[in-house]
Amino acid sequence: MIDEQFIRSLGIIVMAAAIFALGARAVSLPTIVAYLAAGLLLGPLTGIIEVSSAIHLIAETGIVLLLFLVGLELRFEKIRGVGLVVLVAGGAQIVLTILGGFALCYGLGFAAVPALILGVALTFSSTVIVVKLLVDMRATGKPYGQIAIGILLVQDLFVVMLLTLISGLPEGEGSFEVAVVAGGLAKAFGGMGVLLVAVLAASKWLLPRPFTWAAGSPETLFIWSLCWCFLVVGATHFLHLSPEIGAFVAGISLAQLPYHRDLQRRVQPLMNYFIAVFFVSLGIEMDLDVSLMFWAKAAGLAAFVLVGKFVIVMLIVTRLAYSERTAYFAALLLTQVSEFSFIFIALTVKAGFVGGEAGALLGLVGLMSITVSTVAIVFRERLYGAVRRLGLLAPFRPRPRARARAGVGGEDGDEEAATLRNHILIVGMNALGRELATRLQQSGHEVLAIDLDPRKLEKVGVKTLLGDAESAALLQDGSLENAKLLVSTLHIEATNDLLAFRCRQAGVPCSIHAFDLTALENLLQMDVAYLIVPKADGIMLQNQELERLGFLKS
Amino acid sequence: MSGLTIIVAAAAAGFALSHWLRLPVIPLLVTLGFGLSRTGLVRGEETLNLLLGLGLTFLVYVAGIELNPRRFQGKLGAVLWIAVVQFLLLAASGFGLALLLGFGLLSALYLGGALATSSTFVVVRQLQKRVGSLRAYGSLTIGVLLAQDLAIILVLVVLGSVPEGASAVVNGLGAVSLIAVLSFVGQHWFFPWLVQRVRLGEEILLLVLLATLFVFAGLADLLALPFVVGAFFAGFALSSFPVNGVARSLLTSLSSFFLAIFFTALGALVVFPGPLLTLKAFAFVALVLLVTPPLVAVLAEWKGGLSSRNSIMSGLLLAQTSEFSLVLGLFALHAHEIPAEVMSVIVIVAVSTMTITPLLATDRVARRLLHFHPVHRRLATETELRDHVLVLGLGSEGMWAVKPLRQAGHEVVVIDHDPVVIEHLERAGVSCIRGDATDEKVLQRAGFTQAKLVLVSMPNMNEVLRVLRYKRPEGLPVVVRVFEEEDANAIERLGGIAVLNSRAAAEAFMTWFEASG
Repeated sequence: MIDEQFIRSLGIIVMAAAIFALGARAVSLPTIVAYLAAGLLLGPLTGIIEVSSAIHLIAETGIVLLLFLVGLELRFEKIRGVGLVVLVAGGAQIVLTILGGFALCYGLGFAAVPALILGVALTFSSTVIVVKLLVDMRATGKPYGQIAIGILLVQDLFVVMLLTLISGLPEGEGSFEVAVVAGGLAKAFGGMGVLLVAVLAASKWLLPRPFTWAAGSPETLFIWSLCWCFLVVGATHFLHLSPEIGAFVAGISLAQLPYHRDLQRRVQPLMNYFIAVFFVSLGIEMDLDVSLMFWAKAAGLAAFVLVGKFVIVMLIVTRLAYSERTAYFAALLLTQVSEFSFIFIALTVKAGFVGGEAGALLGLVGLMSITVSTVAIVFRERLYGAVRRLGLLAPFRPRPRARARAGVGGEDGDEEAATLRNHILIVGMNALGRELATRLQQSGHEVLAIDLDPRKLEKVGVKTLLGDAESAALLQDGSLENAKLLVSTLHIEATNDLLAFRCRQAGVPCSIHAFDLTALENLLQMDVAYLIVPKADGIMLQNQELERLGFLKS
Repeated sequence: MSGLTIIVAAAAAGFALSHWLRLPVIPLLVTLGFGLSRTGLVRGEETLNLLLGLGLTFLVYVAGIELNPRRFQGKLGAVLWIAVVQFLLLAASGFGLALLLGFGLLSALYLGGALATSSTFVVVRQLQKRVGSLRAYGSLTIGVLLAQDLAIILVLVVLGSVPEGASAVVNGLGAVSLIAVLSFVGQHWFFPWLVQRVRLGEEILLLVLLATLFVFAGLADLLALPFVVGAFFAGFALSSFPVNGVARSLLTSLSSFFLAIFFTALGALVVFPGPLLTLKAFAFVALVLLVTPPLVAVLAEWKGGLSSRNSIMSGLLLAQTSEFSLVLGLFALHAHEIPAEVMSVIVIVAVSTMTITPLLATDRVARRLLHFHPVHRRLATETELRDHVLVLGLGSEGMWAVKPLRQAGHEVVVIDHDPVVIEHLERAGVSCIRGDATDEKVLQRAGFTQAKLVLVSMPNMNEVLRVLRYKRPEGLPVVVRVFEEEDANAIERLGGIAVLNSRAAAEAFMTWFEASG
């Protein structure tokens, strides 16, 4: 029934990833580096694993989910604000990097055409890595995050053009026909246009009502979103575009719905798992078996990627009147090469424009730049401080702002009310939850209501958060660690137990609904500040009523 | 990717239908998957088998996480009774039926074995959908599932090694014990320590959880056991609290995903092997559905002390065959001990019973079946009851209403369906009637219309409203304790007096909250 080889390989990959990730955490390194290291160990260094097509499928799914997740963050208001600026920045970055790369490679002894191709390959930065880092840093909404993602988007469009160009070329020769190329480009752009229009129209007219209906059942919403993502990706396949763009657009279309945060929280664990496999398989497929001279050349190119690209982006972003800090972080994020670079090189090798060793060279450059840049990003604050003190950022004085930089959500904007403090979280908007929310708010406390059902949250007049209370990410979004109390009114024993546990870990007092006396026993062991026992209180109230009716004496 | 996309699309449709028609999702997924295979949209056994295998492993793992032994601590005796009797009786009757229907000896043996256990992940999913304490019948069924899974694993191991002689059997059992011990050590010490003492981020924790799955599965593979055995023990290793809660919160999206694709893929793989064989397959389905509920219900009530309704519920919950039945069948198929048709019978029985369970194991069905239950009716006195206080359903807190009423000199009569409650009441000297408090005949016998006060505490609002609609004298106060406001409104519209637990609790909470500063 099961392909054992595949499960075995997958198992080894996951175990290696887990072990290395634990190690990386112990020394505060980012998990990406851990995954690559695991891949290197399993592939080039020991040859234990070969990446099969099934593993590729999982890795590919990881990229799709990652971009889907990113798209889910981008609401139209945000995109509109960034627009033109990003196009300029992205375009400038591409042109400048190609020129710089070409010059360096030519200087290192490559012929003109290979040097150009290498220059182009070095231009791209890795969407997967950058976005994953941004997600880990919870900075996809910050200005530098937005700029980085924007530049990457422009690069993606450039890639589409390039890939179309290459695929329009006959194999093995070094020439091309104008008509074929023009036809290929027209098809690609046409397809892209169709896709964008279709998906965005869907997001305005087709999706909102069905998805709002589906939101009544979290599982349905989740599966529907995945389904929509896969369908759009299927459409991009059909239109000969890359699946990355499809997933991204699918995510954007769902970002306009009110429940995109909840979707993000649900997609994230799924994505984390698939992405780990992706990076490990990337490591496995690297080829380290080359000469010292090669290493030197690779080091040179890596230096260009790390320093040269940094300088270029820093220049551009400061010219666009962003703050030095924003420019610094955005530039730092983009200092590596992309998986597209590998694909591009592979295609040009096939088309006969460049020799095979270019691929190996790029692999090494990739490894070096990814490792150094991800570590640099993790320690970005300290690095920023050091670089400033050394006066290295002096040449990049930001152009003074002509007017306030609106539209990117403010320099530190974050739409989540994750900066609540001293508030009360109420989980479960049933009758008890609603009563408590109203009364507590009337007494002047800040209340955040949490429930799975969007309809229940609509009836309540306080701040709300939609999602599954068992999720730690949700509690983080609700600022549990800053709350003064969490109240659970749920009738579900398992969830209540988990909430009590999480509150204890966060050091926040909790008050839990003990819906019958057997649940009471369990909760008594859990360090709960106050147990809500409606049945007991109800009996007291009933006895009062019986007194009123004359059956009991007071 | 396209095969996966189609299956995900089918799953999306299944969930949509489930949400719309308010039907459980598993039957719909299976049906859609079956439809998919009929229309030829999904080709490639390979993709389906891969998804099925991944789904199976993962779902067994996720279900294993719920099997916390502490949950059924007090009920070990009842658990063992039910597990053993159900296992043996179903296996034996399955074997007998198979012989009767003309199957060969070996096939009959495997068919019997395939009927012997209930499905852990279907039952766990059903239990998770229930609000309220698991203690009513959940803990008992979880215990039974754990015991049965262990039993079927042993059976699998023994069967796998028998052809190679006694020493292989011993080795196999040793291997299982090794994994079981490892799993127990993880469950008792390692994972609780990891989750509580070491603060790991969600991403790493998820990887650790999945790595656990693969470690155990890999270990099982090394020891020549099937993957699912490893998956089961991996899940068990994570079953203690708070590990299980944390694990569940991280794995929900993954398990929704795998559930969706597993059942759709399963539906797509169902093949009807000709009319005669199909009929025979349904004979087995009937056997499982007809034998299990009464058997389990009787044992649950007699040995487990559950109320009649809860016993019936446990019986309905356990009336299906298991994912391990599929594993058993596959094993036999690969060892050429059964022909392909027998495998398809096993698949049909498993899929049908798993599909029916969510439709069957509901409160409504349990209540209907309650009518078939021989209930002792006992009246407290010979004389007709008059001017008494009638209590419909005691609940866990009802004595706090009964005692003051008796102290005030009223005669109190309680109607309840739970034998344990009746026992307590009799010992306390309170008149009681064991029966269904919504049954008009029972109410008549209890003197509903002659009472001076009726107190109602039943969890099901439809039942309460039904009682309120019965004919009763004008001034008879019917006091009902409820939780939700709409229920209170409905009750008052029918002339009852509603007492809102939630409001009372909110007031008490505010008093505490304000006092504690």
